[in-house]
Amino acid sequence: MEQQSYIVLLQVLIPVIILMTGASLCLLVGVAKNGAFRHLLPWISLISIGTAIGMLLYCDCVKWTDSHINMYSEDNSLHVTTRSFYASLITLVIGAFLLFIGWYPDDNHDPKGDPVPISAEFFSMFLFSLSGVVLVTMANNLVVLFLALELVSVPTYVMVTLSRPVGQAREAGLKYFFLGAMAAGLLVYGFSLIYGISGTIFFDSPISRPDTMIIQQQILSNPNPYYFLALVIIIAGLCFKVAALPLHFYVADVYQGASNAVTAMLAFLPKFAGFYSLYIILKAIGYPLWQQAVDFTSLTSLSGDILWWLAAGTMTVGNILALRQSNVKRILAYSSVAHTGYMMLALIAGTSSFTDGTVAIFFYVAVYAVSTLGAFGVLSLLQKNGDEVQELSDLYGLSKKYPGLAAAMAICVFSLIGMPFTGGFIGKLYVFSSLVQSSVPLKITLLVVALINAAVAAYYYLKILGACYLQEGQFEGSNVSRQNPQLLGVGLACVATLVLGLMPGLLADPMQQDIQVHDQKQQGGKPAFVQGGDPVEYDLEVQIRQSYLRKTAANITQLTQAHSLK
Amino acid sequence: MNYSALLPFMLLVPVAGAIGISFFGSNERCKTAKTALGVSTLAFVISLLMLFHIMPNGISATAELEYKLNFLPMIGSSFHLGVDGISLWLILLTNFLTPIAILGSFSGISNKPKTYYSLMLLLQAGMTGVFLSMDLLFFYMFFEFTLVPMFLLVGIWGGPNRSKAAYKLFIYTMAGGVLTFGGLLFVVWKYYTQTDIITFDIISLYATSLTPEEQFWIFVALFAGFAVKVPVFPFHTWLPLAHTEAPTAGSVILAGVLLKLGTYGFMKLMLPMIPQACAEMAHFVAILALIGIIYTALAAWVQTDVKKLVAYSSVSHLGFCMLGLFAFNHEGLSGSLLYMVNHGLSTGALFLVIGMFYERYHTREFSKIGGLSKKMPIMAFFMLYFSFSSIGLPGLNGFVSEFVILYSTFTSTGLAGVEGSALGPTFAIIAATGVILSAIYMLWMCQRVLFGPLKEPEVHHNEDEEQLPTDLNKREWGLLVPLAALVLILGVYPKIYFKSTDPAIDHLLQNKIVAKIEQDNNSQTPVVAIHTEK
Repeated sequence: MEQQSYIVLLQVLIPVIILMTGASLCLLVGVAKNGAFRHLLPWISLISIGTAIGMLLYCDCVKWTDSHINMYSEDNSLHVTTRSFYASLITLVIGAFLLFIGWYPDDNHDPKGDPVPISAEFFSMFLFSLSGVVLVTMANNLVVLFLALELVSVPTYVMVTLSRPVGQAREAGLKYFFLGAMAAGLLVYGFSLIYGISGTIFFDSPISRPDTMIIQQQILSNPNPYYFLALVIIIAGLCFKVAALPLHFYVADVYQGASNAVTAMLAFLPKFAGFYSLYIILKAIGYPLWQQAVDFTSLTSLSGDILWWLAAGTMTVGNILALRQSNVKRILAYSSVAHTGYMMLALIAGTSSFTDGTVAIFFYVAVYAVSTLGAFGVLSLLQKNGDEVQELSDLYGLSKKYPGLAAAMAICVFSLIGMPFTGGFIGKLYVFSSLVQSSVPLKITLLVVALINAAVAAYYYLKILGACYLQEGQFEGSNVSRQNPQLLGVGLACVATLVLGLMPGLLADPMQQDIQVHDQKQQGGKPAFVQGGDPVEYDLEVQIRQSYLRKTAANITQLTQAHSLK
Repeated sequence: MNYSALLPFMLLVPVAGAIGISFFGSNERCKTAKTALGVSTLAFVISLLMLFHIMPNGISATAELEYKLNFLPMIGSSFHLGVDGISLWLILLTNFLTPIAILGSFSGISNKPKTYYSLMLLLQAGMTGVFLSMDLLFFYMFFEFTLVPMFLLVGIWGGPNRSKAAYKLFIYTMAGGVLTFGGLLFVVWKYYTQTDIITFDIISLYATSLTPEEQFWIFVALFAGFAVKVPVFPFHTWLPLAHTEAPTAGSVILAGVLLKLGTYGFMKLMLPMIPQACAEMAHFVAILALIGIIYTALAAWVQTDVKKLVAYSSVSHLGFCMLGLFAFNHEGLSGSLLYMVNHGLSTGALFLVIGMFYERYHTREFSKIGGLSKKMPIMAFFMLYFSFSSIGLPGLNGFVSEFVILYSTFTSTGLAGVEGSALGPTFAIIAATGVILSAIYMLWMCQRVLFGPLKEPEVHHNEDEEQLPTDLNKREWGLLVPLAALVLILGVYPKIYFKSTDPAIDHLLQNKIVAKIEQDNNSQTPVVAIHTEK
């Protein structure tokens, strides 16, 4: 019966394996001489994403959502938790939406309107990147986390570079690559420091293996000032992935250079992967941040303080920079920086409040992704003189010529502003209420900063809306020639935005409920400070030993319950 | 028959209508307009049904009809609708004015009619939703949502300076609104820490016990949102611009209902939730209201644009409303609520008449039009009639509410247990000068537009255009007569209003506001006890 919480590596990895198989197939089909085969590429991608979703639901949901016990691979390098399940599910569903937007990757910069052969690299890289995000959510040690993050990022460099046949895209790709390489270097340096000091790479261990050393326990029992350094470096590296303050400069140039479909992917894949990694890292040093448990707990206060300032700074800087732009893609790029700031609020709010911070992040990221990809999807459907529609002035009069596209744009923009009855509002509700309920110092100040930012952001979003609806003028561009999948993608994005706004309970309630149950079940397996933030006064050794006893006790109870049910 | 089902239908009907209209062909302007009129009238009929259900049973103090549906059970929010003596009148006002506004735009709107009428219907649903909500989250959601259609209505169908007006309207209201949102979340969290119950139910949240300091900051947060919406004096600059640029129907709805969302917010949330802070800030708010009354009256006096004059008069009139709310007595609350309804009727009607002039002459400048009573005597009569109502001529509705508010301010003794919250005669006397000023600028407006030598601008009309410079047509009769009738009825027989709202207002004042003050003063009483008592 011990195996119940163990399963073979293969089973944990099934969605990732399917995605990677699809990616490899795409590459193979890409070298086929007959160009007609290439029209299979998006279908292959769609089928692999669909199968991955199905297998994720089948493998994880059926076997394990009832028990809410983490599943670990045999070597403990991967684990599936309730959070990773929901994160993977959100990733894959939005991945499917993204695929529709990118169905014909090269369309709106073809001057003659002839169908360009579809590039296989695009689909294969997209699937690799997607599988990277799924892998990030499952990572249980530093090495897998780093590899998974790189699996997300490296394909995006290729996608950016190849996305448009113009110099801008190559410039963007190069910029993105060099900065990304620097961020990866930072990350691996930070990870190596952590391993060097703690002697372990594991974040978590299965209930039945209490002897596995995990980082959290090492940090607590063996304080070392170099953890500070490691943490700061890791946060910096991840700030690049999520496009937060000190490393946000690349965003506008890269977004502007890449094609719309790729930009929509950039706004979601690395950002979500980065946030999930930040969550893993912060969980490793212990939630809630700012706890005063042991001598060494200034580590959590420090990371809390850093992220407090980064959150406030990121949203403010992002919004201020966006105010002055006249290029839609640059506006959306800087707005993506601002949204990172909002999501960081939920990250530092942590998992202790009843509006769980991770639920807030997952919901927000889902809403942000569908709204943004809707907006980029509309742009990807338009062309002007064989190039993309990018400037605000290019959009003038859109509502007269293409009222449907303008309405889709309006829905997405209102959701990004955070207007009620769109998903954006509920996302902000979750993020802000997780902050209000947390034990973050000066949380009201931070909340006011965020609220004022939300109002400031309305201005530049309204400029996009104003360009489509309020400005006089004739829309001079036209539709791209092939548009059905993109239209489907935009439509799905709009519907999702509205559904998440009108019936948020469909996603948020099960997620919140499951995660709460999961956390309660797992409590036996963690040091007591995870809850409440009360000072831990007794000896840590004793505490950790006790927690192992609790773990085993909980495990036995569950097993007997399972037996008696049978 | 279960009458509670009427409440969601009141929201569903306009929303369904809006969605339905967007499937019409783009050249079916007439059909679109008529469908929109039918749908919004249907919503009005539903609200009348509700009235006739409630009225014979006599209005009790608490919610008459309730409807509840789970929304986000995990964070304690439900789609909870309810109607009581206070919201009843504002719902009726909303559903009465919207069909009139839609009928009023039959001739003016030729550009994108589908979008226009869909937005009008969405706006109707949004405004009704605010008045119906018994759940804090939905209150706020509807409150903010009204901005979306309003932004587009002003921005697409407005005058020459429309984008600026639309941006200003949106950003101002949004900036205030988000702070309100923060304050509301804070209250919910406080309630959770005290009772371990997470809920967005407004009535439950009244019982949250808050320290004076917390009350003050919540006051600041909520005031930011509601004062911008009302608008109270220093935050009013968006309104004249929005009014001048908005299409006629937009102005009617803006003045008629949207501004009342702010005063209703004061009445529904601020007074019962944080009475201590409100009472302590009563003088501050009252002084702002007085400045607003006098200053915007003077500003109205010097306007050269008829519509802008009425817009400024709106700000001035809403100052009376605020004064009544912060008098903390029965007459004040009751008069203030009546003022909201009356102002909606008379100012809405004035905007309609001005819109009719504008359709005929394409100008609203005093320098270009004059002496129109010679050419259009009936329209002139209506303009004069609604101006008198706005001034507060005895016999018409404005007088009743103005008098009650001035009386309440004069006799205000403040809230028991809070020092220095009484307003008293000084405030009443200063406010009364506002009445004189309003007589001056309104009559001056009528004199310039209606009397004296006939002055008409040169306007070239197409032969087939409906609006030649002639007197009222049938449609316009249909617009103004119901309004005029209501103005008269509420003027000579205000008892129908007072009879139906007195229990609710009494309940609000005694059982909520005064009781909350006692609870705050006697803060040993745990909130749990109060919660379980209900």
